[in-house]
Amino acid sequence: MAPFNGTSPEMTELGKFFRQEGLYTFVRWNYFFTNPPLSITEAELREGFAIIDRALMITDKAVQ
Amino acid sequence: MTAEEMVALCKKHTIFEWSAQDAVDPIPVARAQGVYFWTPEGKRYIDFNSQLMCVNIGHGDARVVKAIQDQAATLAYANPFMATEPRARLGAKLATLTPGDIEVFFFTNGGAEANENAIKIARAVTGRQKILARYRSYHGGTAAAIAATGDPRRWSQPPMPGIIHVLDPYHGIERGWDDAAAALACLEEVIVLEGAHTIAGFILESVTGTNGILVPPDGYMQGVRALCDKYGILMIVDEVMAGFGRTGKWFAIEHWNVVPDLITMAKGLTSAYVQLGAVGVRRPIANHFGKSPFPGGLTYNSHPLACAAALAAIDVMEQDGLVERARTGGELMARMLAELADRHPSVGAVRSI
Repeated sequence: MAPFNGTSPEMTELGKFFRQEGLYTFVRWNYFFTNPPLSITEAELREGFAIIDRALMITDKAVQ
Repeated sequence: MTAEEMVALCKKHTIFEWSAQDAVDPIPVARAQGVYFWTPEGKRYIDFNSQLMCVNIGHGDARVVKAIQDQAATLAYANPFMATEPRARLGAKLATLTPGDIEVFFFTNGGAEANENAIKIARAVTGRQKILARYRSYHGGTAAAIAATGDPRRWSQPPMPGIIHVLDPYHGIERGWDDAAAALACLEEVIVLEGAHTIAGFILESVTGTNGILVPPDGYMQGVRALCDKYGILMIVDEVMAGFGRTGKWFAIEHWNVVPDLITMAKGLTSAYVQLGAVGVRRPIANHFGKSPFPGGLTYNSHPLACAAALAAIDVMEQDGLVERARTGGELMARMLAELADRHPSVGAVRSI
């Protein structure tokens, strides 16, 4: 999806989508993090994962 | 201040870390509460990284804010030669939370300085100079901490003599993982070839953080402990990112029932309400400095405001059962991650603990 210490158009696009949709996390090389506060509720967790679910369609297109 | 002014002025007069400044595009942040933060114009973000993997209790907790306010009003600062109540209480509290007989602490401004001092301590106690560290690691941006770091953030820094990098069990998404025995055999080979008697310590993250949430295979940490014992090398576990509930234990190293010789922490220690780091040592290591002077110091060592914030943040974690919630929430998240991996062909791996 992206080389060591590098990026790719689809990973850049993924990061942009997170920001546009109001999800903040770290996107680095070929991976991203899900480290919310430990106090997060299940509903809040699902809210974040719903954004991630939609975001991954961007990277899916790159492997099809 | 508007978002636009905030970004423009920050970019004009301040430097953003690890970046070519022209490419920096910061999110303007005005306030935060719980798992959310907002821009000045009111755009809301869900914080899926606890800022920098550090706001473990969530944003804006009134109990910690109150503790900071009270401490600021009573005694905002005392120099490192003084004894203060927050310092006294925090040392004693951490002694009850950290593994085994780790019960003596040196307080710093953050994780890098904690690792910096851990390396100093290991060298002072053993009388040896070399430090083992791993390639897929990050230990901080200051001299020894960045020299111990293995990832590309080290490349621009001058190399430091005496830091030896070894591979860890993970070799990237294509090659995958060594089992514990294979990884330990490579580690022992390096120790022997370097001259075990020249190696002071081995610094490693319990769960590797920014290099990809790398959870070591069971047996690896136990094996590292055994090799360190065999060769008289001090085991320094970096819990800056993984500590304080992040993995469903107070410290991630507890997953493998290993007691390191030194443990470093920051981030979740105060949930970042005030900056604070610490290096914790086992009693026999602390005893070394009974007669020998401790080889480090800093103006903000044991800062009362930071120690008070840490006590309050730890109290919140206990009151709200956040370590347990992280464990059960982590199980739910692991299922959700697995579902994403099933559904999306672009997901090569999901990792959590």
